[in-house]
Amino acid sequence: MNVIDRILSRLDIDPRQWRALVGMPFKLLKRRKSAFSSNDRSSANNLWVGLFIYGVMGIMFANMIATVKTAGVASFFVLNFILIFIAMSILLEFGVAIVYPEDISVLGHRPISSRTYFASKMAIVIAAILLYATLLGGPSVVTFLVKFGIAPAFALFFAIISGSLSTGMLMIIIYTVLVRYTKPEKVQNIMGYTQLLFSFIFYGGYIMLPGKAHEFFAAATPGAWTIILPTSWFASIVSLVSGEWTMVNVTGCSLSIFMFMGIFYLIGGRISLTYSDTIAKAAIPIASLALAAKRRRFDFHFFRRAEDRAIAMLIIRQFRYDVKFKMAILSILPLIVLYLYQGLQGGKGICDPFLVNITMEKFGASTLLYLAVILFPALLKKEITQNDIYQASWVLFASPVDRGNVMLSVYRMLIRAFVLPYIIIIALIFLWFYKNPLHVFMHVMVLFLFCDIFLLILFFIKPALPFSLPREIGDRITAFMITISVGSIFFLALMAMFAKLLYPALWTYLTGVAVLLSISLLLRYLLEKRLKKVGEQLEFQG
Amino acid sequence: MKTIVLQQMTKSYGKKEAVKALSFSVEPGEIIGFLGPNGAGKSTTIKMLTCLIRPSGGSASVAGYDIMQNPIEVKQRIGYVPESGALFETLSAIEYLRFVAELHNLDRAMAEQRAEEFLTLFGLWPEKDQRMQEYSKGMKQKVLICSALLHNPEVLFLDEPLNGLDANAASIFKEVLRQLAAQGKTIFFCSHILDVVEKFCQRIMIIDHGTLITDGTPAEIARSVGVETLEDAFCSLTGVRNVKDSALDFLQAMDR
Repeated sequence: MNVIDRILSRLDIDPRQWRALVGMPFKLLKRRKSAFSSNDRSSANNLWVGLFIYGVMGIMFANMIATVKTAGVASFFVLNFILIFIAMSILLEFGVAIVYPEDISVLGHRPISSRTYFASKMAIVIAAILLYATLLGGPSVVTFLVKFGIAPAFALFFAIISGSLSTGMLMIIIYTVLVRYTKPEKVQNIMGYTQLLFSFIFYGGYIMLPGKAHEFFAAATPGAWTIILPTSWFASIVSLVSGEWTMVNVTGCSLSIFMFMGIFYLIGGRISLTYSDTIAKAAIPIASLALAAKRRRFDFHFFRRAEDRAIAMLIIRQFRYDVKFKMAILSILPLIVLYLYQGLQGGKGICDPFLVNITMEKFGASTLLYLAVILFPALLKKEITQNDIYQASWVLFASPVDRGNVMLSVYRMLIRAFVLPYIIIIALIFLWFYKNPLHVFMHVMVLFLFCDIFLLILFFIKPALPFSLPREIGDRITAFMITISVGSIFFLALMAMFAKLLYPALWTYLTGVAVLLSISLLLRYLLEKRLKKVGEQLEFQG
Repeated sequence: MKTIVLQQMTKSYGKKEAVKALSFSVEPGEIIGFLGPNGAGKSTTIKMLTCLIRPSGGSASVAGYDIMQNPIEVKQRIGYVPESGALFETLSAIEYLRFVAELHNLDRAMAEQRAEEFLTLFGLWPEKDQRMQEYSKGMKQKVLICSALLHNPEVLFLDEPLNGLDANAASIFKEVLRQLAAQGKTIFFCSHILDVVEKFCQRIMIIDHGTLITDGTPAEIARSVGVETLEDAFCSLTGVRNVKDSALDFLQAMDR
């Protein structure tokens, strides 16, 4: 019996069961085939891509804090970024990575004690949190080492690890308390709306940061008001080690220790197989017959093609009753709301591109709006193709439908039901600020074409039938980060160039629109050809 | 004309051959019992014949159409009840049947009428607007059966179709299948319940390790092996030489 086994046995945890339970998710991840093709590429590749991106983001943040004068301000900045990210990933991946709803059916009848189950889940969560925290915070620790010395660097490392673990555990406590005290049918909704709230915080931070960063970085301390934020408590550890002995830092440091210990005391035995059962039940909202009877029947007959009608019915019903799917789509809402807020703060981001000479800086102020234009279809497409109900997609494979047409129906549905209404909302916002309907129309036309082209490219790169691919661990957060980091840079640069070069004269504008339209039509033609070919080769993944 | 024809049909996953050069044919109106031990290749064969996955080699035709060249034509003429029983459960039963009707391009009024009749027959009409998330396993199975029959297919592929059905529903369904066979429709029935298969199917095919090992009436198969029942013949043909001895070995292993 080795040391770990002895410790586990002392804690009343079965070492063999623990090892099996910890190893199983990694085995599953390794052995699951790539969602799209039948080749042997492991889906673990997606995880590696995700981890690479986190590493790059960590380096970017380390670079940003290189200009900050004090260790306190820099650590506050780094910890805010990492801890919100950890909270968001736990929230997004809870039902996939932390507690599998299927656990109860697979393990429920096995002689596994709650303690062993809990310990195995904790080991996985802790490993994941430590990995994320190291990738995101590691480069900043190196920056600290060079800039502030060994003690602040070590303190930052300690603050990142303890802060990340506390945040992760806190999210688990919130989830399990919700599961315990809320009706199963409400849990998913509440978690969904909590996710929405976190999206607001995440995007809010993203939108506020560029404007406040200079002012904030120049400050000597993060400011007394930051004591209300738990992230500042962990940053206080770094401040104290760096010699900033203030009352705020001492209080913050004490609170962080209190929080860390308190959370680990509270987490004891929170996750059990009973939770897996409750979560599985929570995933199935119970509706009464009376409610069902009252439901207004949606008429799908205005869709001309049979495939369009079928896909519309499926997606709309899924949106209505699948909370995860609904929330994934609704979580894009904060982008619009926050952009509106930003615009109202002086309207500097929402300037009529036909009246002023648009520069990259001015475009930067409207980053979120333009980012949303590509983020929206990218996330939508992902959610519509990858879903927990993928095994039911056999019906799409066994029906006499042209699978290429079905995939095109999804594209058309996305354009009609999501992208167009979204563009209309954007147009209304523009109209409020521009006061010129023609300019609004001209600008949203360009936006729409860009969005359409982007969506066509997405379908071209990874075609899939609706709800036909399994979700994979870390996929949602990875897709989100890839789009937000890589996609936005290309798209923003392209949009800014377009506005700068083609908006000044009508003929240049019309030429630009004609080019975009031609690209869109050409892509559509090519996509039809490709989907026809790919449709014949697709195989059922269930 | 034969409704199902397989010629050297093969399916490989990497180096493993799940189905090895399978060849047989089925006449219209036949009720075929397709049997085999776990992992023998039954579901893979059905998935290929229903065009869910593509064969790695050989050829096959269903209802006169090549499954590789004319998959859409094949699918227009087949009904399928999968073993997994997976459905889009956010839809209600009636919505799911409408959804399937759209996928098959059926006349709406006719599909609506059939859906009502099928659901009524299975006692599901009062729950037709309820989401299937709230259904029991048997109720979901009934919806699957309704969806397989909705377009009046020529060939039915049924993978454990009686799963979860109560005795009444199972009796009705079996009688419906007999009547459909009498009308000339082909029923390809896959099940592990040998008693049902023996009584219900006119012809039995047993597959093991991806290869067809026997084909005939239940009585012919039993006679060829020198036993009395299909169950004994199945055990003998698929590797269990003596059921009693095997059980005894099992019990001894448990005592060790």
